Amino acid sequence: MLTIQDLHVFHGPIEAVHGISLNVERGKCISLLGPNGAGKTSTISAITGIARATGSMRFEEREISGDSVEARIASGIAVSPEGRRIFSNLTILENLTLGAALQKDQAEKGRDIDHWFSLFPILAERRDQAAGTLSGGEQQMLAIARALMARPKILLLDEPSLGLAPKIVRQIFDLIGTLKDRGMTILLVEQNATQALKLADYAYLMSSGRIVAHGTADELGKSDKLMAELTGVA
Amino acid sequence: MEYVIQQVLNALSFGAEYALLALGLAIVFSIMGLVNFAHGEIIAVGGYTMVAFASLAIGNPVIVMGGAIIAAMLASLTLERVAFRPVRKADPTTGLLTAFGVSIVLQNVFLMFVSPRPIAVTSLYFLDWPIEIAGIRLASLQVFETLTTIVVIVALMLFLRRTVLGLAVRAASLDFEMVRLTGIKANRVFAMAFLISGLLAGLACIFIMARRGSVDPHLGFDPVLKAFVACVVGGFGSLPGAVLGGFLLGAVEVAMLVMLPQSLGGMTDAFVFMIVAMILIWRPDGILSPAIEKGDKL
Amino acid sequence: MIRLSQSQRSGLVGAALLAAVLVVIGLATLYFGSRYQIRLVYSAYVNLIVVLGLQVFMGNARITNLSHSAFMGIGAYAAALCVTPENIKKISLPAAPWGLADFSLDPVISAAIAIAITAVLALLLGLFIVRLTSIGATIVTLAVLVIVHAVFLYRTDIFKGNQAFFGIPQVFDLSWVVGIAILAVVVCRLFRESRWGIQLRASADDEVGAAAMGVEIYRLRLIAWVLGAVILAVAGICYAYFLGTISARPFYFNHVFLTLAMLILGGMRTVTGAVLGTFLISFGLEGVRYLETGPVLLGIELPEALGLSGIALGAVIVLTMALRPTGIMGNREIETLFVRKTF
Repeated sequence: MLTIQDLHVFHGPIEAVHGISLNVERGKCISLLGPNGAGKTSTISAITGIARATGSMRFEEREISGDSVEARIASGIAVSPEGRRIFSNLTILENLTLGAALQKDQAEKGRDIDHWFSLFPILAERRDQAAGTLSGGEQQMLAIARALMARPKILLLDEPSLGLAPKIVRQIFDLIGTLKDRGMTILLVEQNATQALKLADYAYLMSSGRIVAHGTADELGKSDKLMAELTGVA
Repeated sequence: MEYVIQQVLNALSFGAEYALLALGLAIVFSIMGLVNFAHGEIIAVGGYTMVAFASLAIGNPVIVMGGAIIAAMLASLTLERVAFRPVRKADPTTGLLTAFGVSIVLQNVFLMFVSPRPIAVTSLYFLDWPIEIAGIRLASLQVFETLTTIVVIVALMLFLRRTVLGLAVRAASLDFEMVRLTGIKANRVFAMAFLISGLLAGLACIFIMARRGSVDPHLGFDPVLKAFVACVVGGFGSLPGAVLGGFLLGAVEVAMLVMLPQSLGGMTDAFVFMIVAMILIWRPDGILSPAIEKGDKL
Repeated sequence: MIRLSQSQRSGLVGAALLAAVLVVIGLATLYFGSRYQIRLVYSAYVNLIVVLGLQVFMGNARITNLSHSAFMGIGAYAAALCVTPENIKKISLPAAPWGLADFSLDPVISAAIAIAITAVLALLLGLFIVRLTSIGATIVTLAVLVIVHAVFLYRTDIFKGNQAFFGIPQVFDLSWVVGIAILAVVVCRLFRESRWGIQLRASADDEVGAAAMGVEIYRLRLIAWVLGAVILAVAGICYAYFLGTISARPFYFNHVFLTLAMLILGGMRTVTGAVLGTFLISFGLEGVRYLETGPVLLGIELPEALGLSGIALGAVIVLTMALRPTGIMGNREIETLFVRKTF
């Protein structure tokens, strides 16, 4: 569904990702692992078009690397970004409404909101509160729900467990599991390899802007490289 | 007592005008960090549009007022496209200086192609007549101005809360990139902010012209200077702050006019600015400033 | 003997190069220029000193200042009030309070007093301004400009408002202002390359980071602010001592924008940029003013075009900001164009 080939990503003059290739199949959960600064978030930014990049990106058999950010979102890519980036000055309901900004049908939009509220009861309870008042875990849920409001074909999740307590992390991963079971295509960027590999069908390991290993979750879980990269112990 | 009520009403109508202008500045600032000093020239565009109608012998007030508002909105939109798009991502100082440059260019365009001298516009005099309610004398214009501002604030609030584009404008003040990531076109958000800003300038233009009855290249400079100050006092980028700052400034100005002895009349502006400076020293980011983080965002 | 750092030594080289340019332009005008041209070049040098005074604060602290013309005015009026002979003041300022019309001092003492007054005022204001964030600080400087102008206009018994304050002894000629401009260039360069200047520029790039490194931002900003005000006062004095008459009008928005455009075009981060921008705009505008009068060029009679110089000035600002926000020079000083970097 999403095929990336020889992707280089730049931040100003600095090249953060040096030619990676990866493939996300429809209905699968693909995980992109690696330590801080490996280039995972840069890769996500390149897919959404925020970061400058060269190389080929094909989404549903169509080259998207020349498209604007807005066009890519419109074609069915949604992201829950690193650091969540919810609109803290807007209410929860308003955040979700904005998530469905491209949905013209008001009734459909309302149904979607009800639908996701049923999955996230905690958000439903506080629908008219400013999103900034939510806890970290709740904000993460809101960020995911906001992305889902767009009815994406592929969901990009960037470090959904970052900075959350272990109990909350489990909740978030349960939720991602639920989404996967419902057939959502997911590209999951994580540092928390143990949790991510439990969910992922296939995983890529990044380090210093390159993919250093890839395989099924089982293969990669047994690999020495994973431990070495994530802990720094060879 | 009547005197007090009269002065309060004066303060309200002064404040209403500043609030209208300050809102126009704040909505643009909130999404792109641009201090739009060329706002005053948008007002002047409205004024010169009235002159154009007058020279075509069109006196229909609906056409004159509507035309001025539409001209101001178009001018605002044009400035966004031509001058401010290249500095969209730049720091506030670059934007501020660009706006200064635009303001100077436009003032001199009026001076060169129209006239350096004031041109009388009489088509809006009908808006201003004296009225007396329960012994309180005031001008109809003041009432119109205050009411219009209230209507505008309510309408703006509805727009910002009830429409997707309105939500996007509010969200953009916090994180523009994330708004784009919801699929809303950045250019539409900018265009909408400048359109609203132009509309507010157009409305303010009607009241300024009705009161002054003439337009010159510097028509908008002084009012926008004050509105600028109102924005800062309220907290730059905050829309409620702009309204608050506008009315506060109106109150301070009327208080100065009332309290300063006649001999210090020429110093009103100096005192107003001094009080504003003191408010800023008390609260450096303005009274209702949105939270600003200096460090990196998580 | 003051020990200079490596960067200050290269700064002096740059200052010497700029000084050579200033001397050449000055001498050429002095020997070949008409009276009108001398006047024109003199005002360019005065504006250069203003732009340098502006650069010290704006270029190093990166906070837009709009009050610089007001400080120039304070310096000019203070010196004028001290130096103008009593008999003239008795005529021009018959209602002057506090015995202002009852004394006169020699030009050097008057200048010293004017600089001291400006510096003290700047210090008092600076204590507040340096604590504000960028837009807030800019607004307060705007307020200062408006307030000072209102005082000049309102206290006609002291400043004569928009009327001419006349009778100031014309003690300066072009060679004086060239010398003072060179001095200002040296001071600005030494400050820019000093530890204070370097720390201030670092804190403008990254306020939190610099503060974490122990940089006392407020104190450094204050130093730059007061130093800038002193240079501006000197510019005002040069202005008054050459023309012999001053009024409030030249110390307001038009002059603020003119000098701001000069600094922006050349590049506010460098002293070289300040010099380059000042001369480009001073001489460029003179050309545009010629066009404004509707001259006959190549046999074609051009229409009179009042406002053309204003349009040109605004366009320079807008285009610089759009195409090259750091100005022509960017971060480069003049010596880096000649000398290869050695570190």
